[in-house]
Amino acid sequence: MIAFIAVMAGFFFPLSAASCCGGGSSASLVLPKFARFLYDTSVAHELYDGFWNSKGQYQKDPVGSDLRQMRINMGAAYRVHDNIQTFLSIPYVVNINQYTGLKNTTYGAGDITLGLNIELFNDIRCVYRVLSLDDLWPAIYLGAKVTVPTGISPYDNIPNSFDITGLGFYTFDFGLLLDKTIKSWNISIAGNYSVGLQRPVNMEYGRYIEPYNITPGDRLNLTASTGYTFTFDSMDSLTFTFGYGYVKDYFSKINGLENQISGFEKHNLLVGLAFATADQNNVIKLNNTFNLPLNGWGINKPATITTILEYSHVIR
Amino acid sequence: MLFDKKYFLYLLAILYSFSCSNPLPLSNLFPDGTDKRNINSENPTYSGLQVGNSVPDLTFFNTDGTTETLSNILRLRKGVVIYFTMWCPLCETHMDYIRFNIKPGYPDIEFYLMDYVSATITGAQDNQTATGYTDFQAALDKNFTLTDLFYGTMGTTIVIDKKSVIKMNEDFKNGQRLSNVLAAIP
Repeated sequence: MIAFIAVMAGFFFPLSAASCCGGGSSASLVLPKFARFLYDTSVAHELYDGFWNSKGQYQKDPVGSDLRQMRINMGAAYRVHDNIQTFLSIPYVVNINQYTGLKNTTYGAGDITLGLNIELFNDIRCVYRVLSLDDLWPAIYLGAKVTVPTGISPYDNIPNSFDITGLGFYTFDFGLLLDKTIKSWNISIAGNYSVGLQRPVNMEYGRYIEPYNITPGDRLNLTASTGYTFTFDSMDSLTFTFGYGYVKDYFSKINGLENQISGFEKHNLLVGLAFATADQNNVIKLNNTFNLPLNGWGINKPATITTILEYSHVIR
Repeated sequence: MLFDKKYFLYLLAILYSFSCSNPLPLSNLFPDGTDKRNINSENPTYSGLQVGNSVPDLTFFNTDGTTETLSNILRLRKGVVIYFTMWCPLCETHMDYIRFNIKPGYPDIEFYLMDYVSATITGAQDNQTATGYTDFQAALDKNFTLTDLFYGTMGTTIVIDKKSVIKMNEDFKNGQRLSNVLAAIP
């Protein structure tokens, strides 16, 4: 179960990035039941692979372009109560953008995330077989996190959009994760809603402009996934996960008025592999989130292929 | 244990030292809404030509292979709008808005899409054709002349009036500023 929860943790509050449009925010971390502490290191590689325009039509990136973002993420989760855990996640972002006439590599801190997860269950909810209705009850997590704009945003003293490593807003996320494991099979459903704080702006890309107030669009994330765990004779385990996710950004606001040309939608697919040692204290994960390059699978958003290699260590 | 706690602390220290070489921008933590456009002592690093500045005569390398000068355009038109594009989804949203909501109302204004990411005029033309914006005048920013002059980047929108004076140099956002600025051009 820990391996599956670990895979899902990145999906619970999905990674969000785009080197040309902000990003670099980090995922949340979920500590296994009864564990005291977890630390986590990951390297994410996001390759841009075309985009959907405002009509939902898929288009290729300019010929000869090669656009990528890498994120090194350090995180830790700590149990403060039998049913409450906190986490901190610190990303470092590298943007690699290459067009036929332009080559640019920049790096900087991303947006730091801290939050808490509340467990609405008192014992481990994975069962070997179902003997009663209670055995069907899932593990339920309520999550909240704040993203602190420590990254570089379009509102900083920077020359261009390739330097962006953060969104520039304080955002608050509220999430729900339902997770159930029966024998080797697992199913999980997660959703979260993100609300950003309004902020004043008096600079764009290093240039003072007429001040205005901007509020980022709310964001809705819904995901569902299933997994299967193979357990070896040594009791080490390997978990395969397949998932689907939907993300929608609603209109942002400028001086209180909706910006009708903002917002986006995107459908994601996830495949994941997690190896856990027999004591379940060390987990190595390889996740791949990707989009299908088809019309209607997104609006106003780049299609990406994100590969994340992650190591988590649990202290009980 | 595959990985001791101290290694985690080492990695955090490395991450922190990276951050020190590129300090955290506090402007996002404590955003400022003060109008600083006319405070010369606080001129930012990347301002480029500002609203009110005169623009020297520029040469536009059009994607159809021709060249055009700013002075020649302004002889025939009331002004020029230059939109910096890298043919991205955000750029397309902006360009669509210009196409359907702004351009039809200003037949006396020239609207230019400025490609600052392609190496050649042919490449810029290919991008323009692939994205379907052939009803716009598009040009390649050869040697980043305009990018450097205006500090243009994705979404930067420039308005130059008939007297070669800059009326707008900022991000497109929702298009409202562009509409307002164009409405004020005599």
